[in-house]
Amino acid sequence: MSILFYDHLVDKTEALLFIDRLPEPENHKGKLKQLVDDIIHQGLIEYILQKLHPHHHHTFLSRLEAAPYDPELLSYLKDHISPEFEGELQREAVKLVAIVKKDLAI
Amino acid sequence: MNALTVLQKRSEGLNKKLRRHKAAKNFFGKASLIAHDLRQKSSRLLAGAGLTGALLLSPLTIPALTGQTAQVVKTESTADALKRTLAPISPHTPAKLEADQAGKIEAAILAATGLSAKAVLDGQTLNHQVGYIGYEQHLRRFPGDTLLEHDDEQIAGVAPGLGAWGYFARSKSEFTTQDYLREKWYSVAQTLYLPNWNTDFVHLRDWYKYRKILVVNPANGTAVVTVLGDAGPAKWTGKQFGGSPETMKALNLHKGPRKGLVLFLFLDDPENHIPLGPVTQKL
Repeated sequence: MSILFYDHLVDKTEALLFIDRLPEPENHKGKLKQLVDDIIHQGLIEYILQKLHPHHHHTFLSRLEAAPYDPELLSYLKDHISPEFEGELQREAVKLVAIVKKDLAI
Repeated sequence: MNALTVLQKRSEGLNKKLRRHKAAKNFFGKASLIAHDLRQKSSRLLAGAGLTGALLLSPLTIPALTGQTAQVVKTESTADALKRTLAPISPHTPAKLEADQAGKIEAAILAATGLSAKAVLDGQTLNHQVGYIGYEQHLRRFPGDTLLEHDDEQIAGVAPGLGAWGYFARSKSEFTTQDYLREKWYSVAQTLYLPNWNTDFVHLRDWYKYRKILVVNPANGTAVVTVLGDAGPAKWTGKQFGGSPETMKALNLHKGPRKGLVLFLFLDDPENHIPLGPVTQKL
């Protein structure tokens, strides 16, 4: 089970390992990891809102706020965007991770 | 440009893009939808349902790689790390920490939680950093607030007076998630007994108002990020600090005498990145 409903679609291991190996203080590394997490999160939420009809935005964000882990959030998106949306979201996650890696000069 | 600056710019750019959606703008204004806060909330909800294991509680912990084979390394929990490192160095009577003693405790907390806790911050220091904390009642958050509107620990009741800073919000319609979290995770310190409180009141009041405080129970390693929400307790009580009902529950000090010895330190968080509530993982 994921902590955030989309975690199983995102592989940021390489970026996090890279940060772990940087010769930086631990709190600095923590900030970098948090930023990586936040960039991917904001990117995915923005992508979802682009694809989801504005009429459903409020419901989706309310449900996300109430239960961020809930796998039903993906079902909701599949119902209201497309049955293939999970794959689309995974592809968007790959793009976002690539952007982060580029920013980190990996 | 270093990595931190580049990523910060990237994050800001995405946030700006996100806020172009009307609903997102509203949500990111009134509620915390940032990844870190959602992860903490999610962990708490799942833990409450008994669904989390060590890996779920450490979303940013990654497997150590040996050659090409990934191995999951069992890591010590934050509470266990705090208990192991703080119990041997924390005084077990109310005390104002000496600089070297404070340094050791601050280093242990940083290593276990990633949090920069300080006995002295911006030249300010409390009369105690170690002391007894007592179970406080809920505070009224806005005019007309009632006990029934508090969603947890209603058994605590509501304090008859207001907190030292008055209401958290001027009215129910102006009551925000930030106000809600501040009351839920508030702590109390004896600012009124500071030697310069009366002579430097205006400056000190503004500095201490909602100042972030890390409260740690060294006996069990639980830690909670709080804000100073009230002044007290009175000296005659024999206690040096107070905690909201939820804070005391998180510290496992809400039963029996509802009192216990804790470490009480400022958090150095000028950009307000550290979320309020129990510390369950290294930040």
